[in-house]
Amino acid sequence: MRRLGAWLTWGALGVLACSSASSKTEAAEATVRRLFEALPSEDCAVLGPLLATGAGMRSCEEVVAELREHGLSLVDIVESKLDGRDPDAVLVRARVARGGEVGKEPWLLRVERRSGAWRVRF
Amino acid sequence: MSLSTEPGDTRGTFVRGGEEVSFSSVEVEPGVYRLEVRLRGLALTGLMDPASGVSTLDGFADQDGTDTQLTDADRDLLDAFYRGLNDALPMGDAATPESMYLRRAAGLWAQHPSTVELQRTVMGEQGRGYTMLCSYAKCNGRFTGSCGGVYNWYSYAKHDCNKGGFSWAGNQQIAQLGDHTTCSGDEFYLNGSTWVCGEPDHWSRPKVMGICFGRCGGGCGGDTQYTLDATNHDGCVRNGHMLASAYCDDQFVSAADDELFAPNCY
Repeated sequence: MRRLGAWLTWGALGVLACSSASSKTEAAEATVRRLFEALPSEDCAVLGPLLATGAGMRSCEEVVAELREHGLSLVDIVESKLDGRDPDAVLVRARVARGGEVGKEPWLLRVERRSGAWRVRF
Repeated sequence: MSLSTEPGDTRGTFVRGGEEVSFSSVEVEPGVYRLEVRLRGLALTGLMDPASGVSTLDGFADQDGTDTQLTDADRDLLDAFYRGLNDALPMGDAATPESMYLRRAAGLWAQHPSTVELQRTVMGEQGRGYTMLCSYAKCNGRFTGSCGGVYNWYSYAKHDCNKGGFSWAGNQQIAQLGDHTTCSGDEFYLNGSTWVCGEPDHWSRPKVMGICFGRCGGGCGGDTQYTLDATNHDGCVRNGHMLASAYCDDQFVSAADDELFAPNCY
């Protein structure tokens, strides 16, 4: 009976871990999609909360200007996984086009949870 | 840097500010080398087969082998480690093969952009994979020392980015390759008739030189490979783009086989 209890406990923990990981990757992917959807607006009131900014990082305006200058757009998301060294970071493999031309290899975008919100770090 | 070298086996540790890098490079069969570098919870590995021109590189979380990504803090420590290896190992081919390939891989990882996958297969073949530019690394008949005003210009180092394509003059530089000068760890560019310390930012075909322009690895590393792709990578990261800028990803990927496999020029 004790063994059955242990199995149930480990099973429940496994399910929780999986659901936790999938909720993180889903949230990170949604952030990437929202960012690229809103990018043409160049509105940092919208884009700012989707970007990791602050000490040692570029401002929203700088990042947005650079992304827009380069004509970057999201083609699709290939997959996403938790960063093995940081449970609050997700690695999102995304196909990105530059000036309409799709790159040969997916970009590895980093999405970090900061102050409870998921933000893309460039 | 704590380093031990026996035939076919180089290993040790490098410590900076409380952070440690442990490393090893072992000849696992004749002419084949297995590299391992561990830092900040990250394991970087490589299997190098120079005779076949094939290498496989990987990087993952040391604890459980899951995916991870190089960050600015990783690159900073790897760059310090690479510089430590440059100081500790003999230059060029004078280093043992396993330590030379460790140094080359460390130089590559120190420049690895976050947006590029750590797991890669790198194939290197002279002529197809890399093109040597040793002759352009000389000025005044020498690979090192002052040019004495006698230059041997390479036209052009090229990249593409948000500013324009390869053919745009602002993405091109006329470069004197080689180990001839530096200014406070930076390069020189010609402004009118005056050499200025620093990097131009998308000027129209400026003349540039210094800090081993065109050499594989960051700055003046312990190997002396001057190649076309390394020249173009320097032309990108030393032209108003940060080293790990995603705009220079293509140049980094193209230069990877040069860095691992191209022979030393001297």
